[in-house]
Amino acid sequence: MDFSYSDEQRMLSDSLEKLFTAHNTAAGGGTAAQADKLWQACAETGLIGLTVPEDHGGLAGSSADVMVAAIQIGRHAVQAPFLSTAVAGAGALRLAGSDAQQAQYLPALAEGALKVACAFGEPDARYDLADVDTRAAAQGDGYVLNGAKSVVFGGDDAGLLIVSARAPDTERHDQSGLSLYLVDADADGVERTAYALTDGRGAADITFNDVKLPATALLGAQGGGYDIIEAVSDLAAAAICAEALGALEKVIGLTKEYLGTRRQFGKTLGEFQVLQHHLADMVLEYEHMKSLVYEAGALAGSDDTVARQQAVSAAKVVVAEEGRRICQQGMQMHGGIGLTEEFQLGQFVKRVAVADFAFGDADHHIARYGGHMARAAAAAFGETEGHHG
Amino acid sequence: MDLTHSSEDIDFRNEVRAFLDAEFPQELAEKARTETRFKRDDYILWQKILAKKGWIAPHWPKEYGGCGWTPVQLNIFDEELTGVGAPRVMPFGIRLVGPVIYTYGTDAQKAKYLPRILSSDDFWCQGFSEPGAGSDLASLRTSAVREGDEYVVNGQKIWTSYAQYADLIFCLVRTDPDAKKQLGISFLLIDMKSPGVSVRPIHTLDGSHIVNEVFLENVRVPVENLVGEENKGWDYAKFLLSNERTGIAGIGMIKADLALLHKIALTERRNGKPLIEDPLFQARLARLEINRRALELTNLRMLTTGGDSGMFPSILKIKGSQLQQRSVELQMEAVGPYALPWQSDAMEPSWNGTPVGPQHVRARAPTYFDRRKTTVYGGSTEVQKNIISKTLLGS
Ligand SMILES: Cc1cc2nc3c(=O)[nH]c(=O)nc-3n(C[C@H](O)[C@H](O)[C@H](O)COP(=O)(O)OP(=O)(O)OC[C@H]3O[C@@H](n4cnc5c(N)ncnc54)[C@H](O)[C@@H]3O)c2cc1C
Repeated sequence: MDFSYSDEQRMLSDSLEKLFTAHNTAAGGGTAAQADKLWQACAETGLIGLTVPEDHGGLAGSSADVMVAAIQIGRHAVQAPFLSTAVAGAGALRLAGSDAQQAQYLPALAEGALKVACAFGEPDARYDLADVDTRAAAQGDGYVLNGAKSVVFGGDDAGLLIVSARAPDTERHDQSGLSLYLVDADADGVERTAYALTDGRGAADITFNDVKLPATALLGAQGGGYDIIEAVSDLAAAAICAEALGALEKVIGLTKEYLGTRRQFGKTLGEFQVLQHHLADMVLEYEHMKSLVYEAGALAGSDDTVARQQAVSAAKVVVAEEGRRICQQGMQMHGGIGLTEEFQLGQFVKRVAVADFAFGDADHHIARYGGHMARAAAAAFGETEGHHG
Repeated sequence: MDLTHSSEDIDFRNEVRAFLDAEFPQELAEKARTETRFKRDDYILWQKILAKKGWIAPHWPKEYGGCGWTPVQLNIFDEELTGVGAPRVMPFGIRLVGPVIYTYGTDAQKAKYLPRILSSDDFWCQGFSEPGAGSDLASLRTSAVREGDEYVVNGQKIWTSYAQYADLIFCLVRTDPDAKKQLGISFLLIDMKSPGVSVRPIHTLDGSHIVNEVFLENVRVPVENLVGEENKGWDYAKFLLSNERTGIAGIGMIKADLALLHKIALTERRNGKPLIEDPLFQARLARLEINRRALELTNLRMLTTGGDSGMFPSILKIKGSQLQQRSVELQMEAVGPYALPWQSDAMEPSWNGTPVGPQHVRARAPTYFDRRKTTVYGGSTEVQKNIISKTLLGS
């Protein structure tokens, strides 16, 4: 057992630390030109192709490597679409793409020339990934796509969309009716409403009106979409937990610093025992969260679906609940300053707020974790329906 | 023991409701419904309607324009107004400086300021906090030096709510730098248009602009603007802050928040059912409701039995502010992924963009961030707990 970074992971982490510091990402998203420059620099360090196979120009990194990178992204409040393109987009192409599809898209993705976004969520679906009303009907030797997707991370400026849609003759929640399709974001009939998320990152709501797709647009097997969708969402969930962990490290660091410098009643705030204990609470929750985020990072790419889902859900619940509380305590101990746009605490707090509600909220993951728990109990102790007495 | 409202109270509630039905302007109701931020004119419009009815300062003594209502009636009044989404009556004139002026002011000050407070012709703001003086307010450093018939004021105030709208600011200033810190403070009324007063906006995490920095550079203030005696300002401030804390539980606001939360939780769906039937969400909502119930009863118990124990306002403030935060937290949880698009600008009256998601989602994340202030201002939670424990332990 080894919780420490490998030499390569340490190098990756250090190089990102340098890169993001040099680009001063913590000062906000910057202009479009600055964002492009950062994106290119990210490509050069291999960050965007982190999980892309080597023969397609990537580093063939693991989900743990993604975690290492995402922690730095959170610590520096980087707004670049790493999560949508390098984690989710690359993940879907890697897991489901044919050789030809991988060869077509992954090199461009790794070079920073192609941004990709996964459009899975729908307006009425909340976090249920099988609740899909978008339809792809066979037409000629291709498909025609109709439907609407909401809160698509990176959907604002992605060139390629990976869209979940169901066969027209299947029921709305039927998992086996789902497939994934590659959609050119500029195709006729694709309409996007772009906006910023709470933490400043770009996203979009997207509608598809009779969008014509060639046969080659199908990603993975017909009807085999759901497992891929879940696997990709877990990759993204684990990564956003790691981002939140990095952001929380800053929240705690800034709070510690403030308690050491701010004076009221002739003392530093850090001399008030109640505030010492608040800080201690923040740190003790953070340390437990860190262990879970590490485990999620290690297992997010695992073939053992149950182990993967349990680890990711566990991390996600604790990031949502304790992450929010840590941020609240951090803001509280800063007094008025902690509630201003100008002071940097806010951007890290907002980062964590996005992790709170992205890729499944606490309830979604509690229910998923609880389902596994109940099934494991039944397997261990026998039937679940047994009524006693 | 009888925990129900009397028939007089029920009649009173009906009277307030009838007034609101008739007089609460449609345009303000629409803004409330769409969660559009109120601006200066909205506050003034509503306050003038209340003034016309004689209900702008119900808690003031009758001789100054109050209504002579019981504490329970004042509470009902607050609940009903908040319940329809009426703009909050700005506290700075009516609740804060007004009582200081009628209690400690000269006849000339009463005649000059009170009518204009009641009519909302003057918009006031509160200049207490400074960069170095927050919880430790008595360490404030803004100085006022007497020169003939004037004070010359120099210093900086911060977190001054609505200074950008204000005609007047009431300030705590240091008039005796050598006295023990509480003893050298005076209470001054300053015209915001005086040369040397400047206002810089502070934008908060919710994306709004309410608070400001106010800079005072060689501002000349006539001595007749001193309230009470020089160097006795701390006593007046304590009196004022004790008024600030009544009604601070924010029961009306919490009830309005919960009503909205119920609406949202009926509309949103999880696993094919309304969210309000989802066991995980329902459990949290029920806990919150039970806490609201406890707060409401405790508030009434305090109002009716006097609540003379020094710790009661703190007990209500802490619980009230926590529930004001918790209710909007649940509102945010209720909208799930739609908590993510940042639509603070859509809450501005001038906005004309494309909304994301249903109407009820746009204010959720901004409101969550906005409410963090409730445990910081009006005496932070930590400071209130110090008061409670000092009362208990007598230290
Ligand atoms: C939205 C908003 C509007 C406001 N409007 C006004 C206004 O109109 N006019 C005005 O004058 N002021 C206003 N204030 C200021 C408000 O009163 C102060 O923010 C408040 O007094 C806290 O001061 P501070 O922000 O300097 O925090 P600090 O006093 O620095 O406190 C920082 C942290 O330390 C804790 N702390 C401080 N002392 C102790 C102690 N002894 N024991 C334990 N913990 C302690 C606090 O609880 C807090 O968590 C406003 C503030 C906000 C946020």
